[in-house]
Amino acid sequence: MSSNYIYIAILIASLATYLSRFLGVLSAKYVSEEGKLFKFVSCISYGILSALIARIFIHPVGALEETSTFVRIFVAVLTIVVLFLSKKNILFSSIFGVIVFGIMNLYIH
Amino acid sequence: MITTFNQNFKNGCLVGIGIPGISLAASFFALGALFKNTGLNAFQSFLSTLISFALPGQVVMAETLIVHGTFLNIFLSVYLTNARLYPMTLNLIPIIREQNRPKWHYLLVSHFIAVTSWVHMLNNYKTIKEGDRFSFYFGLGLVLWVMSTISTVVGFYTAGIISKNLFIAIIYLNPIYFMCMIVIGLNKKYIVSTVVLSVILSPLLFILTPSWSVLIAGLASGIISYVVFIK
Repeated sequence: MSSNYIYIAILIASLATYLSRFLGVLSAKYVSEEGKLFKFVSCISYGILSALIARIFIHPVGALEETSTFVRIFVAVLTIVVLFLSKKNILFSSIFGVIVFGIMNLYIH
Repeated sequence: MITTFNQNFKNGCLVGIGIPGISLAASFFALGALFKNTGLNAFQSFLSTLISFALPGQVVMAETLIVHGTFLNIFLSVYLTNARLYPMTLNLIPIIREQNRPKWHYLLVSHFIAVTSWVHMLNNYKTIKEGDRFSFYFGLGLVLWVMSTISTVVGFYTAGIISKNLFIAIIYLNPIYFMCMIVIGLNKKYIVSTVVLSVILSPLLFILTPSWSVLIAGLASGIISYVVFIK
């Protein structure tokens, strides 16, 4: 791969990314914090994010692909239980999840 | 008079340095290693996070580079992958909006809109006074951006040095953190319904259309929940 090809690709990717943010800022004048449109956009945003996270756990891309689907999902469910037991302590629950995942990943592939 | 670099900005920075920053840095650390394996150099990896700062799109760009995709190919695939940023921005700006603040401030701060800062802000904005939110978010986003950019370079240079198991565990931190943030934010019926539907639909749609599953599942679950609970 030539260096120029990579630099242009990086620039194009950044423009493609910023376009959504730019259009979001421009359209935001039609949305008020208490309106129905705000709730609609919340639904869409949370929907896409949840789908993305579900995809990372169930059909990941990259290094997580080599790990067991059972372990990824089991630890995710266990972490939710710990999150509630720890009175919604995110720091503790996230670190707990990663450590359990790391240990289980050593034995189950 | 509008002030930006005040105590709220500092508060945002401090929050960013904590678990949000650590979890996001872990993902960009992995991205640095991925970039190295793709054939990018350290500066190109650094530049990509500096000017894009949206991990899934950067991964797609790397994948397209491997297969020598065209520039149009890169543009479209990255745009579609990062299309979630549009509703996220549309959702965030009304929360941080202040009277008399010029539009270019929002255009600047929108570069920092990514899942981590967005979920944190959506979960906590009611605890921050209306006029203080822009500065807080600016501080939070700026710190996350800087930490992510540095982590990409660290990941690039440490690729292959740390053990594979540790590397994989580090990558797992970010989705676990996102999941925890979304779970604690489930305080409204329409959000609970959206999240549950989306988690069910996403893997099912993946079987039919892997590339579009996230977008379709998100849109369908969002629209259904809105119609059922709000309209």
